[in-house]
Amino acid sequence: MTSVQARGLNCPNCGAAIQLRSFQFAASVVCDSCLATLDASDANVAVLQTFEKTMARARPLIPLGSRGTWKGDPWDVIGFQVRQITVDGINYRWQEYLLFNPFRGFRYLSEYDGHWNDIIAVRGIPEGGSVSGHPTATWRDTTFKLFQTSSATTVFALGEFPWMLNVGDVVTVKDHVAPPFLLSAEETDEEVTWSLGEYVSGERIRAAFKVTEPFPSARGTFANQPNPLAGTPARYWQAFVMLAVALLVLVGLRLGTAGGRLASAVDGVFHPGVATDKAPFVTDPFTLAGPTSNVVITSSATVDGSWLFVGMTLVNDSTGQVIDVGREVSYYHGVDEGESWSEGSRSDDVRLGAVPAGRWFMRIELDGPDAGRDIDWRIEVRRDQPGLIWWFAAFVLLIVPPVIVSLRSAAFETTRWAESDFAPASSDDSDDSSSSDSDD
Amino acid sequence: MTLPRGYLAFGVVVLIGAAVLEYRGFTFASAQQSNGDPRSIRNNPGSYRSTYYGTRSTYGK
Repeated sequence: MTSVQARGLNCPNCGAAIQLRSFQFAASVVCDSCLATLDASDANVAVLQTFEKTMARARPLIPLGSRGTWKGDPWDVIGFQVRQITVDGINYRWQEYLLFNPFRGFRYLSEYDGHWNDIIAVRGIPEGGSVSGHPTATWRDTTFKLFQTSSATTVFALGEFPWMLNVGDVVTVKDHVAPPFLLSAEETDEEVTWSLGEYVSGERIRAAFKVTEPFPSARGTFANQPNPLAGTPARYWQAFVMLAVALLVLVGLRLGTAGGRLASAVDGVFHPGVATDKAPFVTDPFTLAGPTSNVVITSSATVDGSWLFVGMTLVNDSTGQVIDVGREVSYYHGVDEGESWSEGSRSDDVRLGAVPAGRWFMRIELDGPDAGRDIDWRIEVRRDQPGLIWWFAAFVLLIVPPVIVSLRSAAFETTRWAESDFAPASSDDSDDSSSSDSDD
Repeated sequence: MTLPRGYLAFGVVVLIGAAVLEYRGFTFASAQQSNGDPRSIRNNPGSYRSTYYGTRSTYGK
């Protein structure tokens, strides 16, 4: 591990000992004792700013002076600052930790509401643009969408910094997101500094810097927090397409192989007013072949402004199994107030499920109006007619999971953007209590 | 791209189930099927469609 020798000095404001770990890079240092900001580049260590209490002393989650191995290199925590933006009168604060490695330079860790980012400076200028009217910045082939523009104020600091830090410094921050990355521009009147952050787990940082106290748990959804379902909807929809194709193949096979054979047909004429026509009668036996399958009975009648009730009892000649079916064939039509109408049909289908094979016959009983025209009727029994209801039910079941996954993924993105400058109109003022800090 | 195995397994079960139900000829309806109430038709024809009662005179007697 690299050994970093610290340079010592005394605070001219309170006399406390101060260690400088970043050698000549330190431009300013904040006394840990009296919180005065000192000019570290000055041999006499002039006091740049004395501490004015604007908030309670903040305690870094990672103590200053901690050393940890992060992404393969040793880093010292040398600076700590609390920054704040104010939106609608509510202060939102986050912490930034300045890390130093004499061979690697500086990098930052930021923490807000338990969400951590590992941040490095960008050497270059990202290219601005827009996608569908949304401002963007492109850096190394990655397009970042503008998330928020705000004025950030440094409200508390500790340790040393490679710039002349003053509590109260204000910069304009423009955050662009392409999860898990965050591209930020910090603008002052003199310069624009770009940095690239990557969302990282707090536990990983805690382990790297050997912090014993637990970090606060992440609350809410952060700007560049990776969507846990990112890419999942696409995988589900791809699987759905495969299953839907399989479903279509099965439907095709069914339609191509289903019997739909006519097993029995009987017809006659119903004479209204003739009592004997209402007497039950029995058909000749017929065979339902093949494995257990459905039976479709079609009743048709030349009803016209009339009705015919068809009572059918399907009887298994061998086992005595009985299936009762009562159907009505009725058809009415006319014109009311110049508008034609009709109701019913001259034909009726009924599907009987799981009817075993064997010899069957039917007991038929007809009933109809006591007056009117004769009604020609016909009853057909078909075996193994293909249907679509189960395939449709399967389709619904198959499409539910990808729809749910897609909705959950979209909900996460909605939550993310609710905190941005581009929040949907209905999501304003949401989640204020979870992310704000008070001026204590 | 890794496909969601759980969903694929679920889908295969659904397809097999649908195929069995279709080939075996199961229906939602019970064996005792009726699309009307025949006894009321016979006992009181013309009154079982209260919506149209009195406006159309062709429901039988």
